[in-house]
Order: sequence, then C-alpha cells, then structure tokens
Amino acid sequence: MKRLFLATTVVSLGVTAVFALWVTPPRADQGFDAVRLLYLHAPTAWIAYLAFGVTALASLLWLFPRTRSATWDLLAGASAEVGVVFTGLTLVLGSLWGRPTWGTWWEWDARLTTTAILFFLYLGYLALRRTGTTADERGKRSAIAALIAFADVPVSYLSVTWWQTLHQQGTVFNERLSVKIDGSMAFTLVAAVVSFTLLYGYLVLERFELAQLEEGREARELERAIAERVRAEHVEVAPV
Amino acid sequence: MSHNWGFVTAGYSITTAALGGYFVWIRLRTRHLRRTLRDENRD
Repeated sequence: MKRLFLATTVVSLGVTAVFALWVTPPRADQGFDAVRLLYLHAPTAWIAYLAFGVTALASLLWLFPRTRSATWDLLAGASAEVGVVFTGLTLVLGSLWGRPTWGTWWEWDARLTTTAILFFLYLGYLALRRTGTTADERGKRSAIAALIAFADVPVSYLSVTWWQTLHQQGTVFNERLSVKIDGSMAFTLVAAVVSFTLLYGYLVLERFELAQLEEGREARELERAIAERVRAEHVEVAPV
Repeated sequence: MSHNWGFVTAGYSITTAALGGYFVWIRLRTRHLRRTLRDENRD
C-alpha cells in the first residue's frame, strides 16, 4: 500500500514537472520563463501552512486529557519537520523568482518577513522537542509552543491584504482582483498542489514511523541505563 | 534575450535535491534503527 502511495506521488510529480517546464507558456509580467517557479513556490507555501496546521491540531489533541496519546505528539513533530523543509524551500524559491521579476533577492516585505519568522519559529519548536526528560514533559512543552507558533500562519497568509507589500496578492482566491488563470497554467497549478500534498502525506508517514522507532530506542536505552545503575548500586552496597 | 531559465533550473534542482535528500535521510535512518533494534533483540 505504501509503495502504491509512493508510486502515485512520483508519477504525479513527474506529470506536473513536464507540464510546468514544457507545456505552460512563459509570462512577460512574471519574469518570462521564471514564472515556471510558480508551480513550485505556491504549492510549497501551501504545504508549509498545511503542515503547521496539522501540527497545531495534533498538539491540541495531545493537550486534551481525553484524547491524549503519544501518537499525536509524534505526528505533531513529524509534520513540523516536513513543514520546516517546505518553508525553507518556499523562501529559497521565492527569492529565485523575486530576482528576475522584482530585481531583488530579498526585501523586508510583510509576506517575506512573516514567512521567515515562521521558518525560525518552527526551527525553535524542533529544537524544543529535543529537550525534556520525559515524553510527557516534552509533549506539554512542544504542544504549547506549536500553538503559539501557529499564530503566525494566518498573519503570514493575510499579510498581503493587511499591508501594502511587494509580494503580489492571492491570485486564485482573490475576488477583488478577479485575476483569472486558465488553461494549462490552472491545470498545472492544481496538479502541483495535489502532487505536493501527496508528497507531504508520504513524507509525514515515513517520518512518523521513524519517530516511533526513535521513541522505542530511547525508551529501551533509558531502561538499560536504569538497570545498569541499579546493578551498580547493588554491587556497591553488597558485603565483600 | 535571456528568458531566465537559469533561475528555473536552480529552483527545480534545489527542490529536487532538498526533498530527495530528506527522503533518503529518513529511509537510511529508519533502516539503521530497524537493524539496530533487531540486533539488540537478538542479544
């Protein structure tokens, strides 16, 4: 089943790449062929929001005593890590697209800045997950941190409407601008969003399995260390 | 006239390398941990 999931993801990514690189037209107002970065930049940003949303939801479920389970904590961590990878890519791809269209690699624009803050907030979250002596302690700290960090997601998303920014406003879900993208561009953008969502799902699945293994290993090492300590204490107090 | 293909190539290469590298890292680490746990169970 997992292999089928991987195969579907790879095929959909391949089809998207063919359309993005060879079928869709260049646009003079978007840096000519640099517009092809749209099919990576927009989906990676969407995945970043989705990933941090899943982390926030899983953290909430962990915080409620009735739904508390180690699964939610591990899922939150796995989704956040994948989200950080996609946020990093969003920033790099945006910079690469910004240079030919805006003439600059970086601007302290509201969208760019809030996205960079998002990246560092979740890097901090991942660092925080490595602290704490017990799984419960780690779960509590990281769940609260995940909910605080998530506050930046709507700020980042709405920054283009709240402030005047260099970054363009939403194209697909923006009635006021009524910008329409049709034909091969619309199809490729939808295909890219679907295939990147599949990729996100697959990566989270793999990372979650790895997190379960790491958790098992840590628990076993702790048990072994306690057993060794108890044994050493017995040797110390034992009469010679 | 340049059509900015250099930026496109860089973007697609970086994305492939980053996501591919991350996928391979997860796979290798999972395999390593599974092997370690199996060996520890045998001991």
